[in-house]
Amino acid sequence: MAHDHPKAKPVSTDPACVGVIAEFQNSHDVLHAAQRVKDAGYTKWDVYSPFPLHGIDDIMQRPTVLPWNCAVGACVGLATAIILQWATNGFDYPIIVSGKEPFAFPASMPINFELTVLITAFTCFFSVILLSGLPRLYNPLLQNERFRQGVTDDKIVIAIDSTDAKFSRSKTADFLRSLHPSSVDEVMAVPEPTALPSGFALAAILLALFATVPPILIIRKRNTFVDVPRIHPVQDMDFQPKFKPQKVNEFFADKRTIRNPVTGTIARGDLETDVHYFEGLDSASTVAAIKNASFLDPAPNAAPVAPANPAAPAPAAPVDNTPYAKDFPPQVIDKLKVDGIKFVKRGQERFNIYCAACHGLEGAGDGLVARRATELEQPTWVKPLSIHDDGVVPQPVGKVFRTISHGIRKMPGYESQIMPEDRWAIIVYMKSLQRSRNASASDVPAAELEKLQATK
Amino acid sequence: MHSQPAEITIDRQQSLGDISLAVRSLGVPAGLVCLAAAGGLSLATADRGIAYFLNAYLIAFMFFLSISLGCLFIVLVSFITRSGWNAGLRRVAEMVAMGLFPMMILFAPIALLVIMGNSDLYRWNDAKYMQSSELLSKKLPFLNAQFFVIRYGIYAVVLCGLARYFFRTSLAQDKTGDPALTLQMERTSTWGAFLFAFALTFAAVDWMMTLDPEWYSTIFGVNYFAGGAVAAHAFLIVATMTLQSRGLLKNITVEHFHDLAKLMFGFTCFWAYTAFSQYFLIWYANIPEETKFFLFRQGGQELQTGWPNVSLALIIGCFILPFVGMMARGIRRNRNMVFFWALFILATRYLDMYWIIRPNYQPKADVLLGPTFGLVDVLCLIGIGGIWLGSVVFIAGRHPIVAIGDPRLKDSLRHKVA
Repeated sequence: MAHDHPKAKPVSTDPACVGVIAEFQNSHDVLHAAQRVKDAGYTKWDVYSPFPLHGIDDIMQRPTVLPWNCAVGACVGLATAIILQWATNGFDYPIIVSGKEPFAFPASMPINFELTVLITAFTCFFSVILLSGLPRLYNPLLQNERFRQGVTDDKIVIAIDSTDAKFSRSKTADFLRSLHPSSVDEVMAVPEPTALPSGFALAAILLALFATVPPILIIRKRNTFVDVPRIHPVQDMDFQPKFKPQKVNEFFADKRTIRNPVTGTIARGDLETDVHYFEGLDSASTVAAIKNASFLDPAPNAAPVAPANPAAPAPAAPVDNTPYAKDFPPQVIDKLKVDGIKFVKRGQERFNIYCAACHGLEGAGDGLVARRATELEQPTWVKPLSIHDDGVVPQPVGKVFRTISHGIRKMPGYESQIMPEDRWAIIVYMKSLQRSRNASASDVPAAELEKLQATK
Repeated sequence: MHSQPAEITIDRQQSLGDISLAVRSLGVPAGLVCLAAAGGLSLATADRGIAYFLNAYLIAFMFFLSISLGCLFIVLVSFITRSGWNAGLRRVAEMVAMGLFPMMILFAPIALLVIMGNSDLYRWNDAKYMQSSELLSKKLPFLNAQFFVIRYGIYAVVLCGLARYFFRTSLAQDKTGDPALTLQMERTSTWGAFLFAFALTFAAVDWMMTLDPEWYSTIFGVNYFAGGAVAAHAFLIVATMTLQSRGLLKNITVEHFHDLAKLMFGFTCFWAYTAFSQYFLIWYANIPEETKFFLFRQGGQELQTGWPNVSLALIIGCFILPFVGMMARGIRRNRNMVFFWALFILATRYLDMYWIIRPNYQPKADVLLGPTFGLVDVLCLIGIGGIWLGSVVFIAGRHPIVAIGDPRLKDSLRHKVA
C-alpha cells in the first residue's frame, strides 16, 4: 500500500491521510460491500465505477436536491416564457396577427413548452456539475496509481473520506479489508500543485487568439465594401415567387402590386362619425347642413381661382360659414375632468414638439424656423401668426382644430401626425397660453402667489 | 444484482379460473339487463330517447374499446421492441385485447340501425341533411350506410384477427416453450402495427368524429389512440393489483408497476400533446367548420351551456393533475399511489369520451343543451363494461394468467428498474 505512494510519510497521526480506498473486482461484491459500509454508519463515502452500477443508488440513498433544482428551473423557464411573450406582444408593442388578441395563450404554448424544457435542461446540467463538486482540477484520489488505472478500466472502488466522523485510519482500513476487496490503500494528501498543468498556458493563449477571430472578421466586414453580389445558397428562399408592394404587377390594369382598399373601406377603429370630436364641427348644424349646403373650409392650400383679369381687384375674402364647434367636445371635457393637469401637460408636450418650431414655445410666432426664414427673406414665406393675435384669440375651438388638422396658408395639416385627442390637448394648452397673457394676480393660487411675492 | 438471485417460481396452472370472480358468471347477463334497462329508461324519460340512449351507449362503448385497443397496442409494441420486462404481464394485455371480440359484437346494433336508415346517432345518415350543404354532399361517397358497415366489418376482422393471433400463438407457446414462436410474433407485430394503426384511426374517425359530419380533425385518430394507451396502462395496473389481491400474479413487483406507471405518465403527456395540437391548429386556422367543435365546448360568447366547465375539468383531470401527481419517482414506486392514479386516469378517460360524444346529443333545434349525466349513462357504463369484462374472463378463464412459455419470462420476473 504505502509503497504505492512514494510521497507518503510514515507519521504517527494522520493529518495527511485523506481517505482509504478499497478496490473490488466485480459489481456483485461491491454492492454487498457498499451495503456493509452504509450499515457501519459511514456517511462520507463514495463508489467509483467505470460503468453504471444497477442497484447502487438504492443502497447509497444519497438525498439530492437535483429534482427540486429542476422544478425551480422549470418554473423559471415557464414564467420567463409567459412574461417575455406577454411583455413584447401584449404590453410593449401589441400587434394583432390573424385577428387574434395580441397576447393569446394558445399561441404562446409552444414557446412556453420549449423554454420550460430548455431552462430545466440547463438547470439540470449545471446542477449536476456543481453538485458533483466540479469543476475540480485536483483530486488526491488520482494520486493513487491503482485508482487511476482501475476505475478507468474494469475495477470498482469504494472510498471512505477522512472527514467522516467514524473515520479512523487503521480501523477503517481493517474494516474495508474485512469486505474482501482485492486491495486496500490509504490515500495521502499531497501538496496541491500550484503550477498550472503543462500546456495550460499555451492552450489559454491559443484560445484567446482564436476568440479574437470572430470580432476581427465582423469588424473587417463592417468596414469594407463588397462589389460582388452575395451568394444565395437557398434560391427559393431569397427569390420567392411573390410580389412586393412597390413592384410592377402586370396582372392588374394599373400595374400596381399594392391594391387600394375597396371604396368605402374603413380600417378598424377608423370609423369617425363624431364630427364634433373628429372634425371640430358643430354636430347639430352639420347634420342640418349636410344635405344642401357646402360648408367646407375655404381650401387652405389650393391656389385661389385665378381672376379673369389679373388687374381686377382681388375678390373679397370668401365668407366662411363653416359651422365650427364653439365648445370642446364632451370627450375632451371628460378627459380634462379625469386627467386634469396631466392632459394640459400632454398638450404642452405635443405643442412643443409639433408647433413650437414655427410658433415658438410661447406661441408668439417666433419659433426658430420662423426666425430663420424671416432672416433669409424667403419670398414665399408667410410668417406664422402669433396665437395671441387679436384675430386668433376669439376663434372657436373647432376652427383651431380644423386649422391644426388641415393646415392654413404655409402651415401643413397635422391630421396624419397628431391623434385627434392630442390635437384637442394642444388646443387646451393653447387656450391656457392665451389666458396667461391676460391673467391677473387673482388667477394665481394663493400659495403660489405667496411664493412668488417671497422671491421678489 | 445485489440481492441474491431469488428463485423464481411460477405456478404453471394459475389462471383466472382459480379464483372466484363475480364478473365471470354475472358480467354478461347483468350487462345485458343494464343495457335493456338503460334503453327503456332513456326512451321513457329523455327527449328523443333513442338518440340519448345511443349517445350514452357510444360513450361507454368507445371507453371500453379504447382499453382493449390500448392493450393490443401494448402487445404489439412488446414484440416490436422485443421487450423482456413485461413478459410476465403481457398475457393480461393479450386477454384484455381479446375483449375486442365482444366490443365488435356490441357495435353491431349500431351498424344495424345505420343500415336501417336511422340518423339519431349519425346525422350523416340523413340524406336531406347531407344535401343541405355542398361541403356535406361532397362527403357522401365516404359517409353512407353501406360503406360505413363495410368498414366496420374490416375493422372487426383486422382488430379481432390481430388480438386472436397473438393470444393463440402465445397460448401455443405455453405448451411448447418454442422461442421460434416469439420470433414469428415479432415479425407479425411489425406489419400488424400498421394494420392496427389504420384500423384504429379509421374506426375513431368513423365512430366518433363523424358524429358531427361537418367537423374534421386530422389528428383525431392519434388523439384517441393516445387516450387508449393511457387507459390500457391504467387498466393493466388496476387489473394486476386486483388479481394480486386474489392470489394471482404474485411475481409482479414494484419494479413492473414502476414501469407501467412511467408509461402511463408518458402517454398522459402524449395525449395532452395531441389534444393541444388539435386545439392549437384549429384555433389558429380559425375555419368555421373546424372551430365549431371547440366553440361549442369552450362556450363561445353567448353559448353559456356549462360545457366550458367540462372542458376545464378535462384539461385539469386528464393532464394537469396526473402530470403533477405522478411526476415524482417515489409516487410511481408507491403501490397505493399508482393504484389511485390508475383509477383516477380511468375515470378521466371516460370524461374525455363524454366530452367528445355527448355534445352531439341536441334534442331541440333552438336550445343548446348543457352537460347531462344520469342513470342511463351509469347503466350503459355498467352494461357495456360487464359484457366486455365478463367476455374477457370467459375467453381467458381457463388459460394461464402468465405466458409461461415465453423465453423472456425469467428475465421479466427478475426485472429491476435501476
